[in-house]
Amino acid sequence: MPELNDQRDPLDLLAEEFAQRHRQGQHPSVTEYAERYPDLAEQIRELLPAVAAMEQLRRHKEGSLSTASAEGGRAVDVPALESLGDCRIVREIGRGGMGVVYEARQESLGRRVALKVLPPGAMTSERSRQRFEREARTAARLHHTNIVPVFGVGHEGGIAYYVMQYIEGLSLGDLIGAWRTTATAGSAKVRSTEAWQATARPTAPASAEPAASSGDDAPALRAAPLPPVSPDDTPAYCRWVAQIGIQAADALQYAHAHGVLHRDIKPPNLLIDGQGTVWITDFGVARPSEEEALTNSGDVVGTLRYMAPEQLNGEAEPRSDVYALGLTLYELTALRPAFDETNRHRLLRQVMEGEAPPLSRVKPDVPRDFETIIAKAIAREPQRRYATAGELADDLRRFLDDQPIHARRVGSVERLWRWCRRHRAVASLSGVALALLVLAATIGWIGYLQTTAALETAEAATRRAEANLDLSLDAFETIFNRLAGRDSLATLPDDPEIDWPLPSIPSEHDLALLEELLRFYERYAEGNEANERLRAGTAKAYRRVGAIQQILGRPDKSEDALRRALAAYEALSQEEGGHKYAAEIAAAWNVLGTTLQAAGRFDEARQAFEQALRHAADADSDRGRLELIRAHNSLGRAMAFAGPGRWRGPRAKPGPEGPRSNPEGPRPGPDSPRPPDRGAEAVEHHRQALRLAQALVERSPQNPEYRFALACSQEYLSTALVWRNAGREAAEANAAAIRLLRELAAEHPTVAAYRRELAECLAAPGGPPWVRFQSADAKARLEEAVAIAEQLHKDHPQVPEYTLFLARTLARSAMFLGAQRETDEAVRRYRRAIELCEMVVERNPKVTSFAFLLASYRNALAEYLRMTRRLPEARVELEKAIQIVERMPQADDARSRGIRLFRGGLYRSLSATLRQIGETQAADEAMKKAGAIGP
Amino acid sequence: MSGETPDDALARLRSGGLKALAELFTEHRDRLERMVRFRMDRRVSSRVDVADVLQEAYLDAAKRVEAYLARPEAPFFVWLRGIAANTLADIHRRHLGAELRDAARDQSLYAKAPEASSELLAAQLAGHLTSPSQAAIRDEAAAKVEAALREMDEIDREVLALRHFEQLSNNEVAEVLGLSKTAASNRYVRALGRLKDILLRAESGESG
Repeated sequence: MPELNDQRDPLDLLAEEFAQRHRQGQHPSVTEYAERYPDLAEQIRELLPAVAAMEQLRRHKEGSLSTASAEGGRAVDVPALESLGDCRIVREIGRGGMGVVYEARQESLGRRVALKVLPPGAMTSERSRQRFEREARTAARLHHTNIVPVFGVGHEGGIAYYVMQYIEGLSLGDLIGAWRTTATAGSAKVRSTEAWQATARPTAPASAEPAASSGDDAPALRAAPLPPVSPDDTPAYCRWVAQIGIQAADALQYAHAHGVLHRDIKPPNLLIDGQGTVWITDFGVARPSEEEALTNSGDVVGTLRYMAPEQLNGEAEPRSDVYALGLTLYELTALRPAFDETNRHRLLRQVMEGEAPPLSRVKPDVPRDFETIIAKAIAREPQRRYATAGELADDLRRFLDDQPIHARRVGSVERLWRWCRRHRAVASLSGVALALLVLAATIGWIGYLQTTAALETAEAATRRAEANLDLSLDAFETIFNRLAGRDSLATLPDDPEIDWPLPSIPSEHDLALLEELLRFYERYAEGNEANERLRAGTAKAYRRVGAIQQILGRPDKSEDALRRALAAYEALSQEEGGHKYAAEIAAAWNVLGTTLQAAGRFDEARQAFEQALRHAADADSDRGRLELIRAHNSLGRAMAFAGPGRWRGPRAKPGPEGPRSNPEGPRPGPDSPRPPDRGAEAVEHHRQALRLAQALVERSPQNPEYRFALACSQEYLSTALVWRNAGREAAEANAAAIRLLRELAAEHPTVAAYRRELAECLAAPGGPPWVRFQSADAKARLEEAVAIAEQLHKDHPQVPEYTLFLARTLARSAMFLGAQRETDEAVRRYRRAIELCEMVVERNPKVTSFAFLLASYRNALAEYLRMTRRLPEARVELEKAIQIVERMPQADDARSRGIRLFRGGLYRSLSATLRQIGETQAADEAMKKAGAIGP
Repeated sequence: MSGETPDDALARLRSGGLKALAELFTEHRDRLERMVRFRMDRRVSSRVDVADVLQEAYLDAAKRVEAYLARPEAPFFVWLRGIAANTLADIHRRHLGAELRDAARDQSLYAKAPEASSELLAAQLAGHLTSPSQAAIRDEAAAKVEAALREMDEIDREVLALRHFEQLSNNEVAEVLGLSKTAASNRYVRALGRLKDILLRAESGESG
């Protein structure tokens, strides 16, 4: 009876006693207390029911909480036993859903044994009894150094049990728990075995699966072999883990050869004795493969955390044991489970859909080969795992012997690919879905990094961040290649980096995603200034986005991206001090030059190409030489925009086939300085490009990039030579280019750029129009060019580049047809060209060069209509052309001057047309406008 | 009361070092586990194992035990429980982050453990007050009890949880909550009274 003291409320003391009795399993009555303490009766009747309710609640709560763990079943209730059959029970050593394991003494033989006892309730059905006996028989058939021998099976008083050899040692589960405790202690100086022995609880529900020898008494623990090395010494520790893995894999190989699957390999079922020998125990759920019919095939047994995905579908096979052993070794290495979800449903999902984080993410200094072996063992798809446990053992041996292992590392792109395959519904592998996916994934990583950073050392976090970024950059590469359709090229042995041909173009939507991804990289790179690889990756990504933007006809965005790329490269280059990034820089300048040229900023464009030339010359690599070729060719072509200069060759004589006059060209008098010979400069650039390309192709005759560079050089040289009165050489170069491009287009039908250049060459058969149109095959060539251009436009309807290319090719063929007096077809083609061009202008209203093209096609049509005396139609075209040009911005730069001249010409043509129609007044007005614009 | 007097624990710690701490930890493990189980946020309990919390708490205790021995201001178990409570609070913070209103770590070793979840308590109470056949009205009853519990003084609710779920003695409750023994005792009796009111209210809710 509690003593009433004045410090505490007497009711408190009564309640305490009342609660205590409840906890001891009694059912004290409130009335009894009320009668015993009449003075307090009223309060007792009021309050003690509340105490009872609280105690009931506590019991209920504890019950519900203890079953909440992911491992599922509650520990079974087995009545206290003293002996079973021949065995005298010494103590309980393990308890779990599948039964209780006791240490016992087998009196007849005087040996120590382990008894696995099934709970009485478990044996009520015939099926479970059959199963239990079969398990015991199965296990008894196995005789292997690394399998716990089963001595026999018995029944007594409704209790079924089997007798095994007693192994003095620890389970890997206990070991992991112990090491985990000490390993996370860090500098807390508690790395003594005593410390973890006291905290490790072999009978705790979390590790309750019976382990034949896990004990909580001191002798057993003292006998337990700790790893000879500390987990902190990762390389040595991994070798130790590998040794354990070899033994276990050998045992599994043996069992599998006997038609037995273990089906429940996990740390608690692998024991290790004082000699370091591994013992696989608890074939409690093992069953002979050939007897599968005996059990319900849909049965899912074993522990979820270590179960292979196919096993969860009820399809266990030897590779499922390989998988479980792999996960066990993973956990032994990482000291934490590969799948660490504690909620059963989420764990199930993790196992079915997830991929264990690479070991090196958890333990950064794990040997690569070892990581690769474990990764192969725990691959989600059975066919990617080791086919047999023996193969796993062999590879582990190779690892220990420092020989090359057979498992192949899985690249990050492949990981991503697999992820996509697993989530087919999410990622149909269209560029868009893939980009979205990667974006989500990368952002997810960042979140993950942030939440886990606190748990890791700074170094480990950094390494992991880099690994993640690797994946991101690879993913970006993948997306880019996909979008750009360069898959065919990426598989070629030679440098796949070159992005000269951009065969196909992503949609605006894809591009928006790419840009978003890029901004993410940039933010990431900003936070990692010290990481050179990261910054280089970001710079490169910018360069590629710049190239795509350019082709999409967005010069502003293109320029912005390219200048960012250049700034990043220049900074990297300065820090590095050498020419490591010279080729990359040259590539960026080349693309920028093209962008500027498209925007009509010819002087800046030429300067950009000169920069490209300079940097490419610094780079001593084929990549650099390719950029050098590009720069030379671009400069050669840019000569056409280089301001006043001569184009015709020194021996040029206006012959009957040449133009009668050159009204725009300056006519130098004998005293004035000769204007620069632009034509000669252009030819020289193209010849240099040609020489470089020939050298590259000689060395790598199959490389399509080099061959394409050669073809382009020949084509440009041909165009430049036309004006030098070198018609024959021009025609030869043109023919050579066509041959090469036909080959390339046939070998790589998906690469649009090859076909485009082919069409270009076909439409320009090595001479000025007045020569070109006389050649015998001119018509056939033009028709082929139109057909190719039509197809390109059909394949890439959203890409202005190809729409405009078709327009240009149509206009060229119209010009030819007009000369052939096929008037109707010529006008039809002109109109189609105008239509196409109008489409592009509508979509890109801000791009002046597109509008200028439209106006010039209208002008060309008007010229033809005037020639064929269709004056009213010509007037309409001219008026529309003027409308377009009047809307263009006017400034005082070279480009605006060119537009002004064009505008003046349009007014003069309109004036002449109106005069022919007879509208003299309107003609005069037009002429006045032309005069106001100037010559 | 728990196994040994505070003096016993201190003497064992002084002579036995970390081994003694480990042993003592094991002796108190059940009660600590109860505390953690009862107070762990449900969102966290799906991600973190109770054993993990206890391991972490043990390591923390090992770090701090020297300081404790130099100035043992509370009985050993109360000190240990405080450490485990802090560990749990840390884990909550780590996993729930901004969701927790009070992010600043209480520097006191005797920091309050995360509040016993009144929602959980209410659900459990309601579950017990109704028979299985009355499951349909259980939710309603739970809502009523929960409302009542929310009205309850925070310390009263804590006192009930400490006494019954963690099975702390009155003296320990007094230490944990920083109350005098008399005050702790009075609080407990008062809380029981409030609880009885709740039960009655819930029952009347059932029948009406």
